[in-house]
Amino acid sequence: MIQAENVTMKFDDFVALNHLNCSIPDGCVYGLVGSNGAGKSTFLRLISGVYRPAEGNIEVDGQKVYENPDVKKQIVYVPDELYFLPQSSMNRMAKLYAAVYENFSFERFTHLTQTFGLNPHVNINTFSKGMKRQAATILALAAQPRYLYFDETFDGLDPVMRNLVKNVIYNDVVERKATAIISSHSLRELEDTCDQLALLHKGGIIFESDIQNLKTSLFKVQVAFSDAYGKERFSGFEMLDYSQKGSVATFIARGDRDAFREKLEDMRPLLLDILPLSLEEVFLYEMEALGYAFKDVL
Amino acid sequence: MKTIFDRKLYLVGLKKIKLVGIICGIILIVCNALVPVASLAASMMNGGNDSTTLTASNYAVANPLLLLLVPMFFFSMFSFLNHRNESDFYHSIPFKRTCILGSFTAAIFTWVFGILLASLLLNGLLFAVDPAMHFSPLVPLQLFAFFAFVSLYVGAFALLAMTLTGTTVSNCAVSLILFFFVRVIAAITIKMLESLVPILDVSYSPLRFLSARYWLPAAAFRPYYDLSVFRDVGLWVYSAVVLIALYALSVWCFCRRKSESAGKSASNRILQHAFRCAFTLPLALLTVFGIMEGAGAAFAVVMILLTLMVYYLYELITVKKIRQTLLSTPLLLVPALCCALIVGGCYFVRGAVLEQNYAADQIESVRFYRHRDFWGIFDRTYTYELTKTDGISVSDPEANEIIANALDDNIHRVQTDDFNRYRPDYNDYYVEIQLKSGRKIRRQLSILQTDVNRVANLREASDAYREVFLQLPSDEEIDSVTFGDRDILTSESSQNKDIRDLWNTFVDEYGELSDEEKLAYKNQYATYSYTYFEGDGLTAELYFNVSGTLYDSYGSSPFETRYFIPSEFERTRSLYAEYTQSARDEVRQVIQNFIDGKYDALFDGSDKSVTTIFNFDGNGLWNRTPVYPRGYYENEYYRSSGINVTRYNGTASAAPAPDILVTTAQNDPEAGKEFFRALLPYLTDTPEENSYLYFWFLVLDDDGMDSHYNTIFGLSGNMPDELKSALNGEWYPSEIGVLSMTDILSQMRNGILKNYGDIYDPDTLLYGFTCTLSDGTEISFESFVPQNGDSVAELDRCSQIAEVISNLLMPYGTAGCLPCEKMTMTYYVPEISGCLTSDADDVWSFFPLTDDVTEKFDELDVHYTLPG
Repeated sequence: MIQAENVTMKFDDFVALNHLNCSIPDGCVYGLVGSNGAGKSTFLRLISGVYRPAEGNIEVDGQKVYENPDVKKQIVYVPDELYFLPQSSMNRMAKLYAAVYENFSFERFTHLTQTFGLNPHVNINTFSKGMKRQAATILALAAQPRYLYFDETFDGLDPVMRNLVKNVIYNDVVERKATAIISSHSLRELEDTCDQLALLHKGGIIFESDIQNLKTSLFKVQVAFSDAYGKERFSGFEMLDYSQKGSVATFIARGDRDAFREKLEDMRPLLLDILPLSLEEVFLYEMEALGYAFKDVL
Repeated sequence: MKTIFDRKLYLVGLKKIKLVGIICGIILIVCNALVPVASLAASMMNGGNDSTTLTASNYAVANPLLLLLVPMFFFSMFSFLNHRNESDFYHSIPFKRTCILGSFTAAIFTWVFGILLASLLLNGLLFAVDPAMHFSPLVPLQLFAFFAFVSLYVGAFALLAMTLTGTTVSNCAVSLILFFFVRVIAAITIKMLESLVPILDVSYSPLRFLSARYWLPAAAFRPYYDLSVFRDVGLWVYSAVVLIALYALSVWCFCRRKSESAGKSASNRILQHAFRCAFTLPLALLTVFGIMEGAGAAFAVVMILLTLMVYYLYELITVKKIRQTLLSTPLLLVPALCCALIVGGCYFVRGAVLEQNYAADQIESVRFYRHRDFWGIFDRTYTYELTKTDGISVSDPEANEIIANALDDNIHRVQTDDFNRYRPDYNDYYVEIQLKSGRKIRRQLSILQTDVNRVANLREASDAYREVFLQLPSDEEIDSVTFGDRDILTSESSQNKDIRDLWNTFVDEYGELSDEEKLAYKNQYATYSYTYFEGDGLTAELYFNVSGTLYDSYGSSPFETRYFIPSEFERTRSLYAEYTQSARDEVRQVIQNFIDGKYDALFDGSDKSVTTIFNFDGNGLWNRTPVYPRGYYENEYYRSSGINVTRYNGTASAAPAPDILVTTAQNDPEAGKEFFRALLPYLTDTPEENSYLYFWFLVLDDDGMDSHYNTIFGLSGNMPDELKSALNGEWYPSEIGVLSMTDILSQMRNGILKNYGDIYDPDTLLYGFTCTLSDGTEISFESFVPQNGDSVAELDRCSQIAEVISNLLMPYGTAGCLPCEKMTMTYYVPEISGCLTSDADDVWSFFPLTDDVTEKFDELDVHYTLPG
């Protein structure tokens, strides 16, 4: 379990993380969403032990990460800007990883390179950007750590490879009960991968939730009545957004969907539609509810 | 162990710098191999006739390249600190930072030491292959130890620079700053101090630890032939302290370094300011110093502009932001303030030093001491006697009075800006003043020479001085005793033991002398080496050349003395005669063979045919009219050990008909035979009339191996005048013929002979100069000052003439000189009188030969020749 308490990180005068609190359970795929400069990479570097927090504590399995090899050997961090030894092949990199991470499996490495169709003997410099990302992902997964951190890891991947990477990560988490943290500035990238999502903005997590819960907790309601009515008719409901055009009212509601439908049907509407929201829409309304303009956050 | 070292990480490190390692390895190995390969090639071309003893200074000559190569390793290994992605990777891996640093540093030094070792071994193999070289396995071991330490030392600077910076440019710049900054600032500060307080001897101040003497990288360029560098305790202690401090600081910085520093010129802004200011400060300080010295407005403007340019360029190049560069302007005050602080400090020191004026009754004792060259790599080498008596002070009211007056006079002159080192009759001396209060001060004072001589006489009269002066160097103090070209301590020659016996016999005999006899001996026969007296003209005399090192709390003092073996040392001479008996027989045989035309004499009694060559010499003349076989020539050089070795490059085996070409002054082989024929009957085993002929000769066998012999014959007292005349006229273009050195000296002292070719009297002091006109015409003033008797008066006269001429010539400088109207002047002042010293100085300059100069020459009875 990864626990961040009141973590602050500064770069000169710039506050990258500001009293951030976060708890990431084991065995999940955790998504970090935020615009550029929100603090995603900084957070990942902090929980990788690359940075020492200016304030607060970061613990993995109850132990501090920074300068703690026992913890760090359970962590592989795949940064946004990848690092490969100069003029090296994947095989050469695999040897480096094997020297550094004691659980590194050449068997798994071979399997993954075959799965991705990468030639491990070829100089990585000849790889495309996407192939390099795949290579880095393969190396990280072959190291078989308990914690995998991916920073903008889907960048440069085509849709097919993106799905493949997602599947591989997902399977790894499931099979080995590992924990993966994936950062992205695009919500859609994480929508179908993560178990939990956190939204970072200006150095703090402004929203964090279980993704399934997120998707089911908000829904869109379209309803029409034959008589004249207004917003007050729905005063018993928790609404995030309301609009009405003539007899048709549209609003975003929070709560139990079935109970909601039952109550609305009791009002004998002419029309009743309860529609699911995309994750992005959920975020949009949740942000607005928290007082953030979503477009400013993502 | 995982805290500081991990085997797997170490292997990763080894691979990481593989390319750099291979390139550096090739560079070092190839460069180091050049000397032995060239030597081998030369040896093969000459039929293997070269004979040179391998010494440290011609072994692995390219090793100082490590000063550049070692930082390359660090730059390469820790380059990840310059790139964010690499930095993040290495900071995220499951190792403590100390472990990363330790493992990678170990990998670096594995490469460095491996390359060094490989290079040294290969060098050794190449030398070993060369039959002309004598290989000493001790040399590579010593060199390995030395350069391994140098590598560790240099690496510490590079590592610290890497931990403080985050770009390649700043890596290099800060490495340079760390490496040179303190030294450069100290150098300029000391120059300032010397200018502001000329009577202060800075070389004994705490600043001495910043001198080149205590700078290990400089030692890498020192000829470590005598390996004295290993015994320089101060150097090693200082270097070890610096090394440990640098590595400790590097570890501290590395562990606290933020990964995000990668790509930034410095790990924080304060350091960036510090580096920029440090980079600028030397120039700023030079500017201030120049202005203080009255360099003029143009200099000031140029230097200020240069300083500003360096200041801004550093910032611009390292941060690459114009705005930030301009914003750094206010911090220009920092170097300015530093300059002000340093100058202020120098003035403070000046004030403090000038306040220290003591009356005679406050002084306990005074001592003249030898100056340690503060910035030079070498101290001058003095005789053992001079070095040993350096610590003898004079505790005498008269001496105290002289020094107190001199101190007062010097202080007054400095205070009134009237200080002049070049006053007639005055010389500079370094004086240690022991005060009754227990305090000790050292000053460089300009003192009237006659006063100095009075103090010197007082000192020489003291029992303490005499006791020390009469000592011979002990085994612990001696690094090397050579006899001829044989080094007792290091030679692998079979004669090694013989020469040691010879030295021990000499020491025993010396010990049996009375104090008066010892004093007489020391005054007459313990001399300065040829280092200071041109012309190795003493080969007819038997002598030991003894060099060694004395150590005190301020460092090492090398010495070198030539101890002649006069006829009074009968046991030593007869032992030598015994040792050289076989050589004398061989020489006789050689001469006879030569006369008989048996050029292929079976010289050593074996079946091998040999070619014999020998060189006839005598009277202490290093005569260049030897008897050589055809095709041979000699190449005299000074081996790094300071030993004079004659090297033979011959083609004996290639010569189809071994022949001896007699080259006389007249180039007449028959005359040579005639001479030898006449000479042979008068060669005696024991010298008569104290006259000698010195022979050395070389025997080459079929394998190209040579044997080098030397021996000395006495000349029979009944040698006919005709032969003496022949020797005089035919063989030696000299005026004195067959004279012993004693005779030569006697003539010199009696004024009969003032200047004799290249021979300089070992018992006298050369004082004078030589002027060479631009067309080659020489003007010389030379005088030999006996060490005994009227030495003081003679010295005074010489000093006076030299000073007057020197002052006369100085103002002319170089301006407006035309060819044939100017001359070069070498003004050479060697040691004075065996107890007090003034620095030897070669002053080369160009002067117009004007009427007032020539008039002064005439007035002073200085001989000169005008061009044309």
